[in-house]
Amino acid sequence: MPYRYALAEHGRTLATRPLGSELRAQLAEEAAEEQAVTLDFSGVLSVSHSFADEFMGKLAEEIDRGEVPFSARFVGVTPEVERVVRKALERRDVAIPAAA
Amino acid sequence: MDWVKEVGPSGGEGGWRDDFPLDHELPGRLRIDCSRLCLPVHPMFAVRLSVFIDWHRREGRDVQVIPPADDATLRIFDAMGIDADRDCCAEDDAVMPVTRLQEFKDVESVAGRTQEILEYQLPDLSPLGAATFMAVSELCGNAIDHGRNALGAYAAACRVTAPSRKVSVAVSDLGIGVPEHIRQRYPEWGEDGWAIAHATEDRVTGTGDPHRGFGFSAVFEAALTRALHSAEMDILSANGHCRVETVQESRKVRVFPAPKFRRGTWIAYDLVSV
Repeated sequence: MPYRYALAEHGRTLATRPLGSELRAQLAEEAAEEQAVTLDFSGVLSVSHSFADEFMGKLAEEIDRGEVPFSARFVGVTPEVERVVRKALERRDVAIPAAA
Repeated sequence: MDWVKEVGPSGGEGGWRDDFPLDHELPGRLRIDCSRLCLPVHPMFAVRLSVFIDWHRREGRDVQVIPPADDATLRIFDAMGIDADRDCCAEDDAVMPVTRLQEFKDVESVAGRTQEILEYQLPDLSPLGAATFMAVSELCGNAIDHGRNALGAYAAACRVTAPSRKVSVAVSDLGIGVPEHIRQRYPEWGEDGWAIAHATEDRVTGTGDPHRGFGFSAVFEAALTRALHSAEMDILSANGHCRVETVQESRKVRVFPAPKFRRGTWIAYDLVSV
């Protein structure tokens, strides 16, 4: 069972780089013993590009480099949130897949 | 002797028309007469006047503001919270009163609140809520990140319903300014207006981080919704003035001579609904 990380617990809108950085560090600590993580965006109305880059973009790079022990998938995104997340990943040339 | 400034009836037009100097040489008593001011009150006008009031009061000057005589204008004027000495009242068109931002947590708060007001309380502009969220979050984030100064950053947003329906956003700071920031990495971009224009392009940043410099692009991309008729962003900083117009998927960047040197960065962004 993947570890579920609920982003809506930190706000319905997620706007800044420092918040993205804080949540990424929190996730790395909470899921330090996990093999798989589900990033659950249910209830999140919007994310900014800066947040998405700092949280998703850098997390994908950390996964690729083996700096965190888990793989990740995301669920519960609105089309608008998904567009921003995918753009942020594309700009770093990395990927985190959506859960089926 | 007092320094007196009379704001014209169209002081709100784009917010740029009236000059509010941040000048150490002004006398100790300043009076701003807004009695002739008429709607619409652009948020950039509200931000510029608020910065003027706060800056001079910090310098120890006595600043008196005579409010608009017209009732409808007065309601918006007060709802925008321009003068901290006056009571702020609620008014639908004042989506985000002038707000002073000191840290990133303030950006989280104003960006989220602005989107929720647009989406849940103002149905005529709700399709522009996500685009407005992106503008407020990215522009205010830049202002806190790159525009550090003692006063912090300022932001405001209004709804305008005539002649067209739009949401107008204003963000300012008294920091280093876009041209100086960009010239940390691109010293050859000497003309301020073109330095600002380049700063709106992808991956252009003064930070040196190849993954930064997407803020403006993200703002323009987020505006590309079916609900948008057009968008116009004016960026004034130092001696430069750059305007970015978006109509459907085409974007036009123009550079104008700035009427005067402006400390910091001043951004007005209008999203016009279909």
